[in-house]
Amino acid sequence: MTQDPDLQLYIGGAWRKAAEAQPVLNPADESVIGMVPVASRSDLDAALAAAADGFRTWSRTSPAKRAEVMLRAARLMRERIEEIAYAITLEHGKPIAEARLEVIRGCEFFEWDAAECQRIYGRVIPSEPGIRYIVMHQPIGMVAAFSPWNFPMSRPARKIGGALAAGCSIILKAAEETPAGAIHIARAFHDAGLPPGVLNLVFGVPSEISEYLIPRGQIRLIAFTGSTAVGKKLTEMAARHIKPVLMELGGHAPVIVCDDVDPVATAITSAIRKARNSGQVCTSPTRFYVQKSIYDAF
Amino acid sequence: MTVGNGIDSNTQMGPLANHRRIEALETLVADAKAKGARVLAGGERLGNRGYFFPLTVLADLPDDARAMREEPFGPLALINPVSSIDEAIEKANALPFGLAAYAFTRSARNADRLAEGIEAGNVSINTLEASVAETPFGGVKESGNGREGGMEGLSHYTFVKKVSHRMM
Repeated sequence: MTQDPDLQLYIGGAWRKAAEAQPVLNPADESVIGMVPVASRSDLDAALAAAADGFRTWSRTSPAKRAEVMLRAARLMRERIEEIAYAITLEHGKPIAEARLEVIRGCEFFEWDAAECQRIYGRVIPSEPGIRYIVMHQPIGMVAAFSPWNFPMSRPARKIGGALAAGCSIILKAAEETPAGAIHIARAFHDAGLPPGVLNLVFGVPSEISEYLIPRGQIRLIAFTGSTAVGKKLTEMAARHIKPVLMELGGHAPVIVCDDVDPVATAITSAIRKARNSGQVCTSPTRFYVQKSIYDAF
Repeated sequence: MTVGNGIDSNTQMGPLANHRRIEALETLVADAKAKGARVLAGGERLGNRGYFFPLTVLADLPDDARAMREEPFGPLALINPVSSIDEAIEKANALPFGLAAYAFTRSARNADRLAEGIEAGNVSINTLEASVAETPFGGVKESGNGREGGMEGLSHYTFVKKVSHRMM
């Protein structure tokens, strides 16, 4: 039974299918639950053109109005939490309670960014009379963003929230293995009245998409969450064009347990947190360094 | 720990998201065992349909075990003894990563030393929560650059334009 939402690209405020598609699997039983579209070169060109239009409109939209749209979209996602969480669990495998928490966390990111967007203050620098020095913060432009499979809704939310709050437009390539979260975000923003082209969602062959988008003149920021290995490649590509990057990469989190705490309680807390998302989190507690006197008990 | 289908509300831990994770974890566990680590729990795939892997705990790993240097990205916990907090901080900082780090202590002095000394973008003391929307989140060293969330988060999506205006 296919429960995944109808998986399509979202470009210029419209849903579109691609010529090619690839299967999405349910990791609990390896069955095919949907087909995710593979963007072609012309889909990417359409996304670039749409994002350029979207940026022109959105960068001239008042912060209050941008916040209103973001909050409306977040409210819709909160209302749709059961549907979104179910889709996340089907394609990712995490327990449905964790999927619900992820949706709430994603909405909190949108709500936080919507508030921050109204406080992008600049400043006036004291000067001699007759000259005025003003520091302004302007939206950087079109953003190319890439999100991973481990948090298929809240990781895209982080990127989309930041870009939209700042007045930028965005082309997001979300994870092909877990597409539903990003699709639900696009749906909610569409229903919330986001102007066409501000948010564009594509899927496809990751290296093809990054190699095509990153050098394009109108892309002004590359934002990526994923492995350090891929982050290095994208950073190198961006560096060739002197483009700034926002990189959230791998971790190998140490946990230092001092001998003045209860080792058993700490161990139980740690095991529960380790199991979260089956450990597939960049911040997952992994290397436990326990002081010798409580080591065996821990 | 009940491992099963995530749709089932009794499940505490779901499957891994794809087959690559299973292979990676099996490789890391085998390497650790070959280098003398003890397996305290788990270690092998559950069943052969669906990507199920148990919560796996290894102890006494040498520093050159692959698991100690490569991000497992799965339900793998690695436990080693240390004599002192200084030794712990040194080992914690020895990898090129620096995203999240955690410490448990009741002592304010320990907490202060740990917060100062650990090379990471996010240090959590007595909690395993690493990030909420209102706090800046991101890495140092090869864990990345830039911050999302908090007051710092929107800075990457904007640029500074300085305007000098001489009034005629």
